[in-house]
Amino acid sequence: MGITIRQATINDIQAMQNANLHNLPENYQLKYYMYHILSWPQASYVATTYDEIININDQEINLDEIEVTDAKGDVSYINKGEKIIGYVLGKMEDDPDAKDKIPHGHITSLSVMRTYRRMGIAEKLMRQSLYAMCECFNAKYVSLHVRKSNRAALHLYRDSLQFKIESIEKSYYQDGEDAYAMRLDLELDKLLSKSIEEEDDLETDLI
Amino acid sequence: MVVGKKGIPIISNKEDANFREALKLFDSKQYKKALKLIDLNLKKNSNHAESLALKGNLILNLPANGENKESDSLSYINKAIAKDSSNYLVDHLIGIYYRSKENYFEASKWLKLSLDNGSPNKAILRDLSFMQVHLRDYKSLKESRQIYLEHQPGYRANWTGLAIAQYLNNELTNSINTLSKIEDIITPHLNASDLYEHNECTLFKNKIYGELKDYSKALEVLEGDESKILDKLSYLEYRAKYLLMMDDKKSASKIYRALIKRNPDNVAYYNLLELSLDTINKPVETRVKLYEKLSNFYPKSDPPKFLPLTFIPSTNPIFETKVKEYLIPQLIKGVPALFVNVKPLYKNQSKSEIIEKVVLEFVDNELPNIQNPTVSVWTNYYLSQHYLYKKELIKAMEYINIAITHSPTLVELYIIKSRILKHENKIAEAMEVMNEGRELDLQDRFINSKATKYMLRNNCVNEAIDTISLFTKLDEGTINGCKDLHIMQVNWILIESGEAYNRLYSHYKLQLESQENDTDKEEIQELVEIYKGLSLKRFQSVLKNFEIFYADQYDFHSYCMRRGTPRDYIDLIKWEDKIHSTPVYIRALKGLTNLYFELYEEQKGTPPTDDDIQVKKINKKQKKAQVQANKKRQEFATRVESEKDDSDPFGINLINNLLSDDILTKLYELYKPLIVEGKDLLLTWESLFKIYLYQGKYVLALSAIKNFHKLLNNNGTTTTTTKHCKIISNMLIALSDTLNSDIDVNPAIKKVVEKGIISSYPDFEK
Amino acid sequence: MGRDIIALDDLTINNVGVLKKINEVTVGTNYPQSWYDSILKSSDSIVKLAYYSEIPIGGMKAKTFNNSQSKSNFQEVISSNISNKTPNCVYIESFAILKAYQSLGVGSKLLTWLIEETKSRFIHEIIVHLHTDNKKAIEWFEKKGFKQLTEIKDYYKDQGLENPDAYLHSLTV
Repeated sequence: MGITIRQATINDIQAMQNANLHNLPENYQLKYYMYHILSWPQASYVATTYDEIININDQEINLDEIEVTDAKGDVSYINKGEKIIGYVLGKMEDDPDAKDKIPHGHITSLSVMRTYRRMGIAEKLMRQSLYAMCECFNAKYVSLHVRKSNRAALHLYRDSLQFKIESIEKSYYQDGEDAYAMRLDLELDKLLSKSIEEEDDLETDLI
Repeated sequence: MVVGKKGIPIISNKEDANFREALKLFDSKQYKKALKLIDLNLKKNSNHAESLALKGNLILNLPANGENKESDSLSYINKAIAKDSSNYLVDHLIGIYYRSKENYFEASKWLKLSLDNGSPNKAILRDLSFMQVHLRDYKSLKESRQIYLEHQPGYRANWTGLAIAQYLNNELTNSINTLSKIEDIITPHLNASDLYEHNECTLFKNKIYGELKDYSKALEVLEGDESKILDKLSYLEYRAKYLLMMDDKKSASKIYRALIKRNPDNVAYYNLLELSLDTINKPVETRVKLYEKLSNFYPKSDPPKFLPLTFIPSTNPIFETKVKEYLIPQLIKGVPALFVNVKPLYKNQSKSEIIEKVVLEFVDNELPNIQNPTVSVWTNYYLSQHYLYKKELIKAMEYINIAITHSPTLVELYIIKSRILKHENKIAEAMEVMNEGRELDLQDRFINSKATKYMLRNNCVNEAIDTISLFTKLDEGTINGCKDLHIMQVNWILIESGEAYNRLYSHYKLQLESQENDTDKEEIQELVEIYKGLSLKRFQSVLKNFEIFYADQYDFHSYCMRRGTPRDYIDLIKWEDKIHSTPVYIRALKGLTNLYFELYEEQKGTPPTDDDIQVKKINKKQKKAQVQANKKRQEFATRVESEKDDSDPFGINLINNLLSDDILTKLYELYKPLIVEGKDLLLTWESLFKIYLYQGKYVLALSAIKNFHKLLNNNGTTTTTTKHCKIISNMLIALSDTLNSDIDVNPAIKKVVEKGIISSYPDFEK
Repeated sequence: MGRDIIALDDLTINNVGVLKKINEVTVGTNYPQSWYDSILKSSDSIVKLAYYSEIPIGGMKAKTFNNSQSKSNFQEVISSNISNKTPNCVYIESFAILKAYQSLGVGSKLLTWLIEETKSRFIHEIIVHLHTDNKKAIEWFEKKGFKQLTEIKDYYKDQGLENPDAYLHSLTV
């Protein structure tokens, strides 16, 4: 199944909640996902698999031989052949009591299924979400929390995405673990990773 | 929220004054004080309808005073109705009462009546509109929105509300007009904080233009609005789509390139780019070149590398080259998902053979020269999955064991080994191996979830709940996370538990049949009852979560108007309208269906046998055993409670209630939404057929068979697999057999059905 | 992704199973569960896991120790309690790297870390017991500058080994 990364919609929230429950200790009821999508529809992204396209593209497959079945009763499936394997849930700071009045974003939750790691999916999800926060909501910076012991996440935020550690919040998590409060100033141009080799000028004919 | 009568009251007396005071207190949630005043009123005049209605509300809102809160409050409401239901204040209070109970049907009825009876309180219209959209009464919704907008035109939310109502009534042009009007009015007065809402409403308007299919107009408007649109992604997507629909493919292709540049990992853009470049029917080499170029632009992205593998025929030598280019670097990098990523290609057997060759050649020729030891692990991991897919389980096991011996600390390997064991039907061993993997990384919830799932598959429910409880909230006085799993809506575990309990139920039921010893029999009988109840209870808790998911939309009926996110609000409405066809719901329903049919058989087979119960004299020893058993049962109950102070921890009341009810009708109610939402699901028609058959509704049963059959043909297939043929012929046999043995059947109906069978299935032989 | 292919990380309550697995499959000696349980509890523990390409593949467990109370066998060493004397020595209790990942520099990295850790505790000696048959290990430690102090008869007598003798090696840092 190839992986595709696209904006999250309401249709995805059940499977997003499921991915969250499978991967992370911090969980939310479905309504909280609804609230994100209906408040900042552009700020959340999902990574999904697609395999139905094979049936269309591969002329050698005889469609008559494929058995008709209902979609798998697996919670991670949104549709037949499409399941969510990662997501980022983003929002803008909307607490009226927040100290900082400068518009800024916050990453509520990010996760990629363990078996889909090492493909850079988390970084790609983050970049899309941050880009949208900056473009649509004029976010000047974004903040997030990460468990002190989460090596992989720390590597992603600090090394790949250039977040800075702002402070350590003692016992931030329910189980007593400390969190790093991290922050990244957003500049639209710097958010998408560029090819070093060759760039599409969007004009020259491709074929 | 309730505004008292304006103007001069008809009879101005002490009661009315007290009532007005109490109403104020009610609005500010000072229920106790309000009740004191109301009680004073009612002491003097027990017929004071407004006071009665308010008291109903107060009782409902006050903390429970005794068991009868519900019926108590309702009795006051009913008294108020009896006294004076034409009083708009009374009507309004009754509306509020039903709203608190989330009975929006009744609530909207009373609010409407309040307006009809002359309430000057226009805010009622707002409340009413939320209920009307919740109930999908779009016609009334539009009316309410229209009047409310006339009353309060100074808020953009009210314009958006009307536009949405018009949209839902399929009055697209009216909706556009409403949106345009407010856009014009508001443009000179916009603040920075309004710009996002402005952007969303503009895009909503444009989306509707698109739906009207006048694409050149839509494009013209879109381009004119460009400066208002912050969501450039939508702007580009809409624009590209319109151009494509207008057959300006060249321009469209440039926008799809821009979209790919923004997000080179979205496969949809590549498909649309090909559509606009007209490459789909071009020679394979042309398409391959296109993707080589794109891959050069976006070397970190998967689609331009993977997509060619889907369309290059296996017979073309480029396939082997390309698949090698795809696989080997990822084997070297150690991408765990590599196999699942290419698995869809395996549908084409020649491709899977080429892939096998490529990987085995890599193992023989290149792997020995690679220093990094992890490459061999990931390669063996790949091959194990490859052979598992091919159902060559021995080979699959060999490869995974090599990998585990090499790197026994790699959790992923245990997942595959466990899966192979599962395919070998060694469920207990599979569970052990998955748990071995879990113990290597207790912090990872993913492997914890997998281990939990395999425990459930092995029917070890207690162990499973204890394991997953490492990641749930443990409230005081609880011994596991079972309640938290319900609160957090962990549907997957509720379903898996329901299925595990169901297997335990079947297991003990079988054991019961072969059991001779009476005391053992009693014990097993108890387990049968408990597991049956628990299974039903867990499946129903999934359905309950879906009721919550449906109720969750209520707050957004007002929120999204204010927030200004109409496009996604419409998505929400559409999504809610089909949640019953989502995979999780269907799976829970499937489990329930089997249980319901079993209970139906049980109900039919055994008339109530109360006199069968023997009152046995029990001696001291037995008494002690009974105390012990009760204690055990109590302990069990604390493990499985789904909510605090669960009055029916084992679901036994649920079973008994069903058994004393019309089970088929109850089951039909569960399927009713699926007749629309799930008309594309085989399960819908398979189950409905059975329900109709048992209910003696033969015409409907036949049409269910036809719908089932139609689905098989709809999906592009013309030949029906033998498995499905058999299901259909079994249905037909069951139908005609039942028809023939039913002596009460109306002969005309019998004829219709028989004719129907013959005309639709001429080959069906008796 | 810019990360060193060999990385060291802390042992936690959550990944202690990894250390156990590595020891089980690579070291001939058995450590009782109580030994694993105590690692994270006692303050004299010095412990680190090694990762190769993000897979945990090695582990080192040592403890600070006062060498005036020398132990005569393995059982005693791993079950001894914290002494109240000021530690003047670091003792390597277990040091294992999965077979497939040996000779890739992981051991050196762990030892370098241990030396630094020892220094930071103002201790100047690291000692280790080595099975007299384990030529490969002896050679490796001696290459790193360890010197043989004594031979201890029957050191591994409860481990069911044919040859229960060990050398005691030491490194001054």
